[in-house]
Amino acid sequence: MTTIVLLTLTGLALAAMYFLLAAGLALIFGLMDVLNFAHGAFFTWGAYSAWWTIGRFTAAGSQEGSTGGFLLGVLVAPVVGALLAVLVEVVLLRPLYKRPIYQVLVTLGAGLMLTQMTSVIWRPDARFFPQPGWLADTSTVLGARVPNNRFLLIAAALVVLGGMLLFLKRTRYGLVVRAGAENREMVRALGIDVDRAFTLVFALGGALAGLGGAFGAAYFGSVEPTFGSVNLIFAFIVVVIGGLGSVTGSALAAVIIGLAQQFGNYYTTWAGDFVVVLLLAAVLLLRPGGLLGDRT
Amino acid sequence: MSTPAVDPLLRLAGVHAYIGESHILQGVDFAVAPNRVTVLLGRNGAGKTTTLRTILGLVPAASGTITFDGVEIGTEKPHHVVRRGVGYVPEDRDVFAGLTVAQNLRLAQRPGASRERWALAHALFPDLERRADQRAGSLSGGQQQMVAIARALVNDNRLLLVDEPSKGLAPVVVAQVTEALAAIKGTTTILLVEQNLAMAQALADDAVVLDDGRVVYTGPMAELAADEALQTRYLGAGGHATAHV
Ligand SMILES: Nc1ncnc2c1ncn2[C@@H]1O[C@H](COP(=O)(O)OP(=O)(O)O)[C@@H](O)[C@H]1O
Ligand SMILES: [Mg+2]
Repeated sequence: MTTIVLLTLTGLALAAMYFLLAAGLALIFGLMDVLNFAHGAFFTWGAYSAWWTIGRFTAAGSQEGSTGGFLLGVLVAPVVGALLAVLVEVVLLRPLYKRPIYQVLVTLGAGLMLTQMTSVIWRPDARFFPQPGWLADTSTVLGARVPNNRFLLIAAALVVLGGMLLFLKRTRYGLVVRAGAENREMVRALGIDVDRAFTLVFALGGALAGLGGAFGAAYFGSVEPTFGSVNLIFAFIVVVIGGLGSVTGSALAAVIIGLAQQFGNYYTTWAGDFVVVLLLAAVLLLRPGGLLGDRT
Repeated sequence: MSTPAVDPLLRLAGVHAYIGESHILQGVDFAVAPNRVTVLLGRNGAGKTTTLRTILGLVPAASGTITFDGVEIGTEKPHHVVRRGVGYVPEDRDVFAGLTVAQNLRLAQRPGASRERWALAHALFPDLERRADQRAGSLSGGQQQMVAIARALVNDNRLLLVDEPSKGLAPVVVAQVTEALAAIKGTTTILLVEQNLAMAQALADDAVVLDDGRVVYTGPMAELAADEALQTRYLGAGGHATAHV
């Protein structure tokens, strides 16, 4: 029982991290039809900027990070993610909106380059992420001792999910994003500057990825350059399973993948990723549009 | 009665446009007088839709000039053109299926649009009020057309570009749409693409006929309506279009 509680909460935390990464991917794909392979790099940069920020406030060699430093890091990470995303969108993608293959290459290239920069600036090996004591501490739930950073990650993802649904349903920009996912031309013909909406969606996606990176660093207790690319693969799988463009679908799929991975990895040494691939194959065969996708 | 002495609201001069490699508009010239209805006729594939999309900037004009209210708009981006007061009702309605009726209209409403316009659109199509919270994708073709037209009506537009509003609709709905356009005629300039000659005759003051990307006739609608030879030549076989109003 204790194990099941622990695995469930850890799986949900992992799901939360995937969701933070996948939500932006889903929005960007939905509105712009762009597969953004640079998204993992925004996540890595978010992780490193949180790590760097917390490092400014923490005594060298200390195992315990400062709370203020961590909170500041959680603010800095999404800002860095958003800035990089805007840079990629405006400088690299904007000239290529009519050439989808080039978009893939350009985001892939930008992702590799940004990732490489982190290993040049901060060394290629994993760096310890000194989190505040209260975050690394555990709380006991039904007998299971669960690290607090799991709860924080889950709470953050829930807040983001709620915020995004409100944004999409209640705000004018949300309507622009949903309508643009259906028919970009017609949104243009209503007098709306779609290019600006693209930049906004990219910035939002980058901010969420950066935030995911900061919380992910706390989850894993370390940062390294390959951080983003590893998680990006799972985030893409989450987006496909959830339905391209559907934020709620991404949340649902993230939970399924996170739990499947945790349980799979606990009971066997190999099943975690295998189950994920099986799930992906099943969804692609049975529901090619994804669980909640309205497009096929 | 044909060419009024006032300056046109819209003028196209020598407009060429390409879609991919195809040379679709091959020097289009015509003018649209203010507060009148000008109908753009021509057989399928003549370039009517492309003409409207070029005016909006959705298709780039390769050469020539497009002047709206004395300002050259041929090189402007669509959202700038639209914000000058141009409303568009596309050929396939293109309502946002996943949005509700009210959301479709709110999205269309540009900042600063007056309440009266919103009220007018709902007065002309009372159905929209009742179905405000219904997903536009679940509406009938006729109701979707009303949403599409209302999207153009909720703004203080000076020019409406309306592409085949009667296409695929039942006669009752066509009548309702015709009535709505007739109601705003005189206060708004309309450039109407329409194959249904009865509807064109009911609404239009002036006519422009397009053939193979070129203008082959401009003149009063009444004159065109009376000229069966012209109709047969440019509007398709049999002159079946000469429906009596
Ligand atoms: N997306 C497109 N790609 C290629 N050709 C097109 C496209 N859209 C229209 N055309 C061609 O342009 C010509 C004019 O089309 P259109 O403006 O839609 O005519 P109309 O509205 O008068 O029926 C047609 O020959 C059509 O085949
Ligand atoms: Mg057409």
